[in-house]
Amino acid sequence: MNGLNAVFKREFAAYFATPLAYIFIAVFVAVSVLFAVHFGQIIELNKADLQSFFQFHPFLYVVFIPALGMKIWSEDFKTGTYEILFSLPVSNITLIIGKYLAGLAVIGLTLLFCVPLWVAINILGNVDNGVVAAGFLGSFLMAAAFLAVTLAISAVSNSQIVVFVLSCFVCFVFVAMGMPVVLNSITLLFGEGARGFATIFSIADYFDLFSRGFIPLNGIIFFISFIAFWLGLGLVVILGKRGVLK
Amino acid sequence: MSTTLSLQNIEFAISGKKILKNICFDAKAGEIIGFIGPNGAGKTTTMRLINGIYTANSGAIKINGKEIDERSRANLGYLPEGGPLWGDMTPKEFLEFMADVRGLKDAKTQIISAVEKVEIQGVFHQRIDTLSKGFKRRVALAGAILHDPEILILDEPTDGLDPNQKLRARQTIKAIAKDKIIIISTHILDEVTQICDRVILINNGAIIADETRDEFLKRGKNIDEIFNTLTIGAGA
Repeated sequence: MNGLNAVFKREFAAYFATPLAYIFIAVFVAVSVLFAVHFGQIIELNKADLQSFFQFHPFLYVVFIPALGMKIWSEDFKTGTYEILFSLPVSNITLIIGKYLAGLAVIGLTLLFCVPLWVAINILGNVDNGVVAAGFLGSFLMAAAFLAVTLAISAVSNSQIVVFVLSCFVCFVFVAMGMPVVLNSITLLFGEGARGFATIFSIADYFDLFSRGFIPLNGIIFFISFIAFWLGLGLVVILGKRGVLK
Repeated sequence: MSTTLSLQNIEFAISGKKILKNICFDAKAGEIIGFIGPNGAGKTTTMRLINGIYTANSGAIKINGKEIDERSRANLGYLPEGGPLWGDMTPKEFLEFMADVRGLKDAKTQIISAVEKVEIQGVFHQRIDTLSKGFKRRVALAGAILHDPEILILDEPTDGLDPNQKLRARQTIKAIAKDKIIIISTHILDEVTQICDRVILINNGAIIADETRDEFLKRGKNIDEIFNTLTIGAGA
């Protein structure tokens, strides 16, 4: 992929050219630790694991990931810099992957800043590090899935607020599909079959398995397919904007 | 081999509305073409189509006889209307990015050459969002000429610049014109008389005149009058 490295470097640097990435990392780490301590009672439970830290990630990501990714395409469309990108001798896929990987790198960096918590519980007790590692992997995959959603939606509108709100909503839908209250409502309205169908798309359910130490194959396949689908959708939107789809 | 650009029967519509109708013209190296027309005539859309930003509904755009694709875009340099840039970068970072993404082998030399041509040495390390409009336009122009393209497409290159900046921009364009096809999309008619040697006039999405500058200027007393007669007479 010609130019992928250049696009990645440009996009990654752009996160740190403004306070965005710094604020994102600092606030996410602070809020997730605060939630784990205050609501998850990580200290009171006296358990040497990070489940009470991970359990809030689906809800945090519903807000945090769209906030990070809302500018991916929308800013280029608003300022006109998309004309520079589209006139370069690089493919649409290269642009999408480069932008996506840059956002992913910021997410990876953010989770790295959560590693001291992992170290801390190792000091406090006997930890099953495999379980914690699976939790971090699941958390990363879930964030990657939400970033793909945000990227696709950011290709639709040049308003970052619109992108943020729509992305939060879509991400929340995929989290909510695992909630008993939502599943019961689906069963009531559409029957058992619909409930089973909704469960397939419950991101929170897949993530729950990871946070309990499993690395389920269906979970991996789900996340990869989910990401590929949304990135593909983003590509379709870009191709549509460029008049390639007739 | 001398570079050629050919637009053949280009049609383009957005949401069912025809923007361009049967656009045809050929250009060869050494020509500076003024692509003029009223606002909304289809100038910018044509520039975007040549640069592959949009894809035409029908027709063909060929460089050296081959239909334009991702690879042949390496032969194009493009200054979009308004000269959009990433404000968080410095000119140095912007040009390094452009060199990197184009895979230029001798990037450092080419960056120095482009910087000297557009004279932005003094602001090379300054954030783009702190630069004046004139400097921003020059940085964008440096990005467009960095890889020494055979075809240079400039969309409203002097729009919004003060008279001194306009003069400098025109001098720069003239200086880099040799052996290239340069297409300047503009609604500033002075541009045509001062730097172009061929005029293409577009109105309501269709080309209504394509001739040398001298032939074009023979049509009336002055270029403003000719422009008005042709565009208003055509129902603009």
